[in-house]
Amino acid sequence: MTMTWAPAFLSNPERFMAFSRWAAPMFGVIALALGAVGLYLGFIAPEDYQQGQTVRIMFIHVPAAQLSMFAYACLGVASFLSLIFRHALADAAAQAAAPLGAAFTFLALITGSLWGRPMWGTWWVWDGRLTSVLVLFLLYIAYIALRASMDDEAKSARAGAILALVGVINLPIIHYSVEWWNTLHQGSSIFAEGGPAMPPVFLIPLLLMSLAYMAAFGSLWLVGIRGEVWRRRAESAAMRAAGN
Amino acid sequence: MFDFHYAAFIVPAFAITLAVFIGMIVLSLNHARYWRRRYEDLAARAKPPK
Repeated sequence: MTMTWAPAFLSNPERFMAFSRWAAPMFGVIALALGAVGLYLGFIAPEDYQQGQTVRIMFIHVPAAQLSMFAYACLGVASFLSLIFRHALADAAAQAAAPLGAAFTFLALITGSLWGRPMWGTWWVWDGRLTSVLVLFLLYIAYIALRASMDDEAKSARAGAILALVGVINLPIIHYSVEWWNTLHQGSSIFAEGGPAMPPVFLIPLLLMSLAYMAAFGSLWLVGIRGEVWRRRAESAAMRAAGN
Repeated sequence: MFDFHYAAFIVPAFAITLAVFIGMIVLSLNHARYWRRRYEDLAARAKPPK
């Protein structure tokens, strides 16, 4: 089977290495620039009439939560491509996405807890949103542990891809958890019906920070995939050397 | 200007975020650099001497 759509452009490792060589630092610079402006606007914004200064945690919590899900979607797509087309680069992309996704999910949980304590009066509550995000974190850890526990690269890729694809069911659960169940967590503010439910003075820095996190993920993901490509090449070279 | 009553929550949130970002950057770059050097060493050793 051949890939006839967008990922085909990067399915050649040589082409990918040439592309990522300049794209990774470029995304890094974009992330730094957007993050600097977003943080500046976030800190000069007035305090919220209900949440006071704690509203500033929103500028790092919401993008982390968005990226925790986006990274898992990337892991799911890469795993699907790896499982169907058995392409090594897709598997490298899946493997590189998992630790980044785990880090963003950890940040979403920790910053959410630090925001929840002064606003809700508790560090943690077992409601639909928080619990489903904790499940997402555990899925990332399970994926990383599974990949690390198997020496056979092909079997490890297949088992990891199946686990990742089963876990994709958790993404709509996270998204709709605030609608399906009565939760302490607030509903969607950016993608609310009738437009964003927050004034531009908060919305603009939040969007800038979301784009900064996205660019940072793009940069680190490309670096991670490059590392995986080098690792696989090194292991192949070591096998060849051992065979000679 | 800044409400120090909430600093105990805001400062750790930003500090942990910064630390995790630094960790992600350092680990990603080190992983890529390590395996690139390892591959280059093995490839150089595999080349027949002139």
